[in-house]
Amino acid sequence: MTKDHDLTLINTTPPSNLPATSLEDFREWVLSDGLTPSAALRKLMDVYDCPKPDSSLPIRLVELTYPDVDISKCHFTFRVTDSGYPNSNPSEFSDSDFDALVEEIRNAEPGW
Amino acid sequence: MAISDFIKNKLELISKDNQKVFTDLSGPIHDMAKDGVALKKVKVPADGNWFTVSFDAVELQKDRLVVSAQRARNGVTTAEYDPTEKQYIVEFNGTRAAYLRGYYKARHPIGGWPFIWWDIRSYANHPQNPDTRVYVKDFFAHNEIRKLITSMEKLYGTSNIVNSYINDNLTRFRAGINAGKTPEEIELAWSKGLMESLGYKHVEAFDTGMPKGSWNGVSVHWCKNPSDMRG
Repeated sequence: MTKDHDLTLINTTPPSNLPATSLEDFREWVLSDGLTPSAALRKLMDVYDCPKPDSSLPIRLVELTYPDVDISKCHFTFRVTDSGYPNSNPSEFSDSDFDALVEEIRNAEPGW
Repeated sequence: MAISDFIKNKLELISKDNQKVFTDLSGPIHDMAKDGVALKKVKVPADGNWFTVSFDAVELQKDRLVVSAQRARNGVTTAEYDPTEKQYIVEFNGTRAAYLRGYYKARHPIGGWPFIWWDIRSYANHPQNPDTRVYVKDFFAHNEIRKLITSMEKLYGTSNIVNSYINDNLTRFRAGINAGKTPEEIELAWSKGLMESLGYKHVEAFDTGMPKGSWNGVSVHWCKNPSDMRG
């Protein structure tokens, strides 16, 4: 059997090479306009016509918006990647789960 | 080959699976054998990631039940928004049953040294039955981690690795503690010589969960230089 195997489509597209202005927009929407990280991410996906970003995108946006956070804490990267956020099944990992996770990592104590 | 013969051969292969992991799939597969429908889909359970494969995607590899998937990324890649930062990514089209992502950080908040860490999933398992595992063909965790460490060392010259455990790895660690082993013994057993062969001969683990002593959370630190140890 050599034909391509039929796997249910799960997005694993490479990083989308969004312009740097999208990062600046995300920061402003979150830090100045008061949008939640998930709402800012959804807005970025809409404004920059990027409907299926890779899981690395929300990780990088949070890391660069909050430079003091340690993204190696709270299994942050694993939980976002493993859930396939932001295109995963919302019943498994939703926007509110993501926002709660961002709050968790922001409040995490430094340490091992 | 007739479809009926193909299904018969597949079932014979599956019956040789030493892990007996096919329980959840045996029903649909026997239905296929009965109906003679080779292209019927089988739903494979995974942590939060149910995925559906065609019958001929399932096979055995070294006594592991595997599905085939094409590697979408397989090594060093440039981090989004920062062309100077590199990450190490292995992932597959169509499934997150296996992936590896390696990261670099310039300063550990406690140790002070630069370090790398990674997230890995090496198989899909059933939420109610962790013994049911489906791997992705040709993805062997230790082999992939070896390549990650070698690549990240070449990029960053790191000599420290810090990983925190979750899910099955945390369960494995706690089982070792409950069996009376030291954290070092548990990690050296996990390594199977991998870390030592790469020069990481020193390991310590920290209880990051609450209450202390229950090992509800674990961070593991491997290093080349004994002076970097904190334990």
